[in-house]
Amino acid sequence: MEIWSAFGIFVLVPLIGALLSYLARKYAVYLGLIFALVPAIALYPFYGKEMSTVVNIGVKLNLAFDVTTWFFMLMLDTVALASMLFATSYVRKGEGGFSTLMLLGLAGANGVLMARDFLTLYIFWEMMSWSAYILVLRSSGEYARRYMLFAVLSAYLLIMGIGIYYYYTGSFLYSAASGIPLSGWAWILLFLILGFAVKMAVFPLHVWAPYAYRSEQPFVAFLSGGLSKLGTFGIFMAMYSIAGVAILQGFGTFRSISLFGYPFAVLGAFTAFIGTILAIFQDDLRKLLAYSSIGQLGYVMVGLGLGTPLAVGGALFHAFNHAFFKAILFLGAGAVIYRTGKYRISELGGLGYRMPFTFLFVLFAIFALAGIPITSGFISKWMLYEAAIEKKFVLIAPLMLIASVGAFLYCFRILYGVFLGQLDKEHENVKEAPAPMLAAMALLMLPLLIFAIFPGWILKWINEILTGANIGTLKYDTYAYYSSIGGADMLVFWITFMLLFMISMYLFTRKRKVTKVVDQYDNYLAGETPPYVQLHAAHNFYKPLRDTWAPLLRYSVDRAYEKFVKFFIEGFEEIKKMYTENPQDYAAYLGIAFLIFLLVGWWLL
Amino acid sequence: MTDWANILINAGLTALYLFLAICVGLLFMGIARKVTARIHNRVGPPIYQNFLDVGKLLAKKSNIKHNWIFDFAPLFALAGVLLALAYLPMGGYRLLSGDGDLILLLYILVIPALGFALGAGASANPNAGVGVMRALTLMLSYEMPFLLVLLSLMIYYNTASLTTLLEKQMHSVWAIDVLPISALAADIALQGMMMEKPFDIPIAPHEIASGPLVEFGGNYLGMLMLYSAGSIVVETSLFVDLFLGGGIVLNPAVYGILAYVVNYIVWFALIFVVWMIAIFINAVFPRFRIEQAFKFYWKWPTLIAALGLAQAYIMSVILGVSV
Amino acid sequence: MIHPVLLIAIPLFFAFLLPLISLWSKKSLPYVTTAVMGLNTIIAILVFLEAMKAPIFDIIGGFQPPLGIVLMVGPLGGFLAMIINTAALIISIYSMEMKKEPLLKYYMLTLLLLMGTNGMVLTGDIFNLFVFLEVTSIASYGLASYNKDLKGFEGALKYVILGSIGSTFVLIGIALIYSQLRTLNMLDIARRLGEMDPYTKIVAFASLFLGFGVEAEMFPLNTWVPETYDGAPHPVTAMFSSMSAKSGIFALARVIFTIFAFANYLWFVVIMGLLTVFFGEIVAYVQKDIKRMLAYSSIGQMGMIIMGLGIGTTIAVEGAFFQMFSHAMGKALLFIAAGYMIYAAQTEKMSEMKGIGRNPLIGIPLLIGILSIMGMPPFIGFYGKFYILMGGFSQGYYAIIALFLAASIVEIAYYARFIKIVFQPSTKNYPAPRSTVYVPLILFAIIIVLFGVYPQPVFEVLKHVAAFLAGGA
Repeated sequence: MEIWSAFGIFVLVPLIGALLSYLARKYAVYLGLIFALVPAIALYPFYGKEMSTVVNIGVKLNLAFDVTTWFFMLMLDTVALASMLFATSYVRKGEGGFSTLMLLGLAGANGVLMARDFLTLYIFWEMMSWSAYILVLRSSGEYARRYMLFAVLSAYLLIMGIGIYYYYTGSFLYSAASGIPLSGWAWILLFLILGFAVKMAVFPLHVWAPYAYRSEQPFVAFLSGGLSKLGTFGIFMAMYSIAGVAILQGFGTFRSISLFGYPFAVLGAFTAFIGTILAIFQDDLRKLLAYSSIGQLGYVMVGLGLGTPLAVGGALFHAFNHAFFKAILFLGAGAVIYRTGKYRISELGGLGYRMPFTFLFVLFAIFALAGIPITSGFISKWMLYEAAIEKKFVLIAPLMLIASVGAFLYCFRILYGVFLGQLDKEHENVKEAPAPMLAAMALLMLPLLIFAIFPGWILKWINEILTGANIGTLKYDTYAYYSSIGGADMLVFWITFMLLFMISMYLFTRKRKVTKVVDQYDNYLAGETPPYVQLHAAHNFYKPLRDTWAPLLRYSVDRAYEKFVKFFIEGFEEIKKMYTENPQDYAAYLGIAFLIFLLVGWWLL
Repeated sequence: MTDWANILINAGLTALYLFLAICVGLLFMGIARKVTARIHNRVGPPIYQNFLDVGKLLAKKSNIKHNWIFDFAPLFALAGVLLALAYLPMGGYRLLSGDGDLILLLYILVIPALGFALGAGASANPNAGVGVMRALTLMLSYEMPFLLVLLSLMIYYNTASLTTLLEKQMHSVWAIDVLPISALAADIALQGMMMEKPFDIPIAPHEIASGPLVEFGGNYLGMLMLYSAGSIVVETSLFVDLFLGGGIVLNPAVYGILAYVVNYIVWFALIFVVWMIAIFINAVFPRFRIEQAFKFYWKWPTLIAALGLAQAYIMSVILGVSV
Repeated sequence: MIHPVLLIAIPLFFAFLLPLISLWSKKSLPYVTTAVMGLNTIIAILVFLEAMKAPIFDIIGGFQPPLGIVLMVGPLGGFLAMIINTAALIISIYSMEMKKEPLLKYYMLTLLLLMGTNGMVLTGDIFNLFVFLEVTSIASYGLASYNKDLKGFEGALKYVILGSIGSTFVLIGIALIYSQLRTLNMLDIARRLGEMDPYTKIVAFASLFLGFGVEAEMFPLNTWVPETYDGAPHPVTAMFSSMSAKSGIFALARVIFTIFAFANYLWFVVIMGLLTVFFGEIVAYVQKDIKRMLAYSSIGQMGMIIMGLGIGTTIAVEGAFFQMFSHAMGKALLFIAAGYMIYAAQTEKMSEMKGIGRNPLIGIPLLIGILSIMGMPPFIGFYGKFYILMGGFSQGYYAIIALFLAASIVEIAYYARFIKIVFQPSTKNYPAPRSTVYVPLILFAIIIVLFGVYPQPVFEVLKHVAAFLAGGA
């Protein structure tokens, strides 16, 4: 019966919440919060439990709960909770749609995590997709179609994979995978991975993300932080749970890395690089974060492709970190947009002095994003780098490393363009974000901080997942983590850092007395500028770099897709001409059809 | 008990090494000023000038203040650079480098830069913003060859730990003898990392009024001078540790305390040489524009570094050389 | 025991009673029709429950064929009859929107259409099948041109031309079979098919396939669909897509499985289905008028059903039947919504319908309908599509499924475009929908969601597909 309680809490409760919050529109946001809170809290007693059941609604839904499910639910449900908390001040009161669709999406996501057969997976997957589609539609209707088309592309790629699996096994169950020849596995995994990769916005299937991420920010935090992790989960399940290491190794190995996974790792590294480069040049805060998401999930893809314990562990850890820091960033962007109504980096500036807490949370998330060791964001990146380096991959490792340097560039662009620099006169009276927003961001910050000090705690869970999937084990203890070529101890790091920080503090404050606080116009400008001119140097921030990259930036996957679509639509117009609206032609079609039917029948006889 | 004693002794020694490193850095700054002056046919300030400057700046009592984020800059910068120094073996003494590897060091190096950039951004001076932009672009530029170099070392020596790297170099030959191409690329990257001409674009005094530094004065500037002294040692010492065996000529296991003294002296000589090369180049070159620097770094040094990487790859993976 | 013939007799009886009623009270006509359809629905449900236990075989009035009516109601036939009657009932609520005279004829024709379609799914005798096809067609011709405008006449004329050619072919096919086997009973024919001259058999099959293909909107016999659907009054369009098309496809299924069990012809049916999907969806994409778009989309959906039938495995045919159900509900919903939109926006152009769906009474059912047609779970459209595809995979039709999915993406594209227009904010004020509009919409939406979330009852019915494929009722 325990599984029923799991199914009830993680799938049915959000579903009921969705229905209720639609009916009781007046309290929708609060209902949404409560119903997101239930699964997020109820999750903790479920740690380490393993159970499974079949729910029969006409089709059999095979559900199970294990540590992998738990781990992914931990990030998804927490991010959903934070988003709903944030939304209590963000979304207009009395609007049922937002909570309803968010909870539907949450139910779908939890269902995907608990599914143990492809039919169930697909049902919940699509439920999650379309509720997200309507959420995108609500605020950026223009680009909702793009999201939908890619969501459906992902679903259809999954269908291809599922179908081929069904052809060989005659069953949708994950556990029924046996007797599939290697060529069959190649197709199944290819389609499944590509299908899931769409959700992770892996190059070149990423073009939906920059547009979809322009919707309501709390939802985008959930979409980018939470739902994109379903792609990670799916690929992990497909490669390491359904197929398994033995089959992947069966494709042949390259320095003990499966030849099947290696191309995906390269693709991931390439995605990380492209996403980062494109993020550097964005002026729209949301688009910048979107490209950054693409880049960060590229890292995850690298780990999943390499498939060593360190790599997969790093991928899972990075997915976990990304869920939290990217959610903070999107929520932070949401808070800024909520207070100023602007989202162009060049139009903002100096908000850090008016919204100090928002700034702090965003700063912290950026530490995690950039991989500064004072957050857990570093550890996951470290694992991925070392995984590539210990296997001596000279293509993947530099791409990942340089992408992370590029990440500093766009990170600073957010910090400087939005929060530092000169405050616009228009924003003189901007207030700090409302308390629920801050609480949401603070909630998301906790794991990043905790696991930076105690990485062993999360590595224990990841290790359980890895041993469960027969990938191998990680080397770690409470404060430290090791690869075959190196390692780091966070306890030593923290103590030293704290001591040195105190020493600097002592040096710095030793002789400080009362200081005069000056305003931002009291600056050294070589006596050249009158004070009323806006001098926030954030417009086209990386212009020199952009000029250098200009010849390459001309090529855009976006436009390639548009050309592709245009080509087809022109073809459609031609095909339309077949319907001439002339009954004589139509009668002729009938005759021809009859002839063909006869001929085929005669031929088949 | 011995455990705690060990830790305390280690901590004390680390503090000593850090203090010495800052002093070495300040000394080097003075030497650089003197040497450059001599090349330019000037007299130049005395070598100890920078000690005086720092002392004066830190002794200043009151100051103007922009906002609380502005105050972060000196704290983060100094703490970060000291942290980086602590993870870097100096003169054969490993300090904390056993508890963190190259990748960690690489990211620790970012902490002071980020703190500095934050403070500069908070000063609301457009020059500072432009300066930081240039600094970051420069970073993207020189990191490309530098990361390839690091990779070639890590692949060749099959380790990411600096301690192991030094030991392996001690027992065989210095890395510069095996991977000279990478060493060349690393030295070119180092020039950008130290922001010496022709790559002093971020702080270009005549264009953007010292860039990020523009608003810092007094107490703040004093802290930042300590920071730059520290970073000189970090950067030169990084090169020496990577390619010149960290200056280890005597095995501490055999020669004990004597080895530490000798190694420290050799290490000092080596970083001095590396620093002098940078200063000589600095003294005679004009300044690049930032996009030129970017193009330069992603072209020639990257190519050289890639060649070095190829060499390391061939030796380690294909020929199966293991050190 | 409820007699299935009532399903045919009641509409027929009331169709001819209506003129009398109209003498008494013209206003009561819609209510009487709705009541009749409600009665029919109840009977259909009872018949269906009966048929679930065992197939019903019945000869009416003791007349031997071809004079008497032979009924053969299996679980699937009963299921389809139930769907058709339910759809008719719900659509008849929307029919109350019809204001244009002569209403008497409209309701008479509606009842005749119901009778014809019911007959087509219930009968067990191919000559009766032809008769009911003719009744359906003639009622349809009348209804299609009911608006008495140019569009209506043009559409109806094309329907007449193609429909009568199709009927002729059906007749030829029947004649060929009768000339050789001297029987018209489907099961009888199926049993003795081996005695037929193979060439005659092929010609007969091709004729029947073509004839019912016209009604089932198979490519390239579906050319009448867009214009007829466009020109017909809105409730009639909904009826066409959820009633006549369904009876046509069921007749086709009968021809393929019950009468001729041509296993080696099936791949060709799959190809025809794929072509139907392809052309339907692609041409729908470039349509600017809402009803035409829906009409072409309807073709696409029917193509999917034909594909499912052609794949011929149990799971695929289950999917095909599920799809008939979901299409009948979903498309009827969309056509009713389209009717309201055309009325509210006073144009057929989709680009003029900005923000019309922001009224939740229209918007929510519309969204549910579209998502169901797209094949999104947990709506009924999902199961049919998924099962057809999986059936295709189990037969190894990878390339065909891939092409089908490509066409499906086109479908998503134009529906998403439609959704975007309908839900985008706009300043236009549209008249609020009357209860005759939103009640049927909501009823359909409820059915779509209910059986989508809990499809168990439908799958219970579909267990009988295996028997149907083996040549049973």
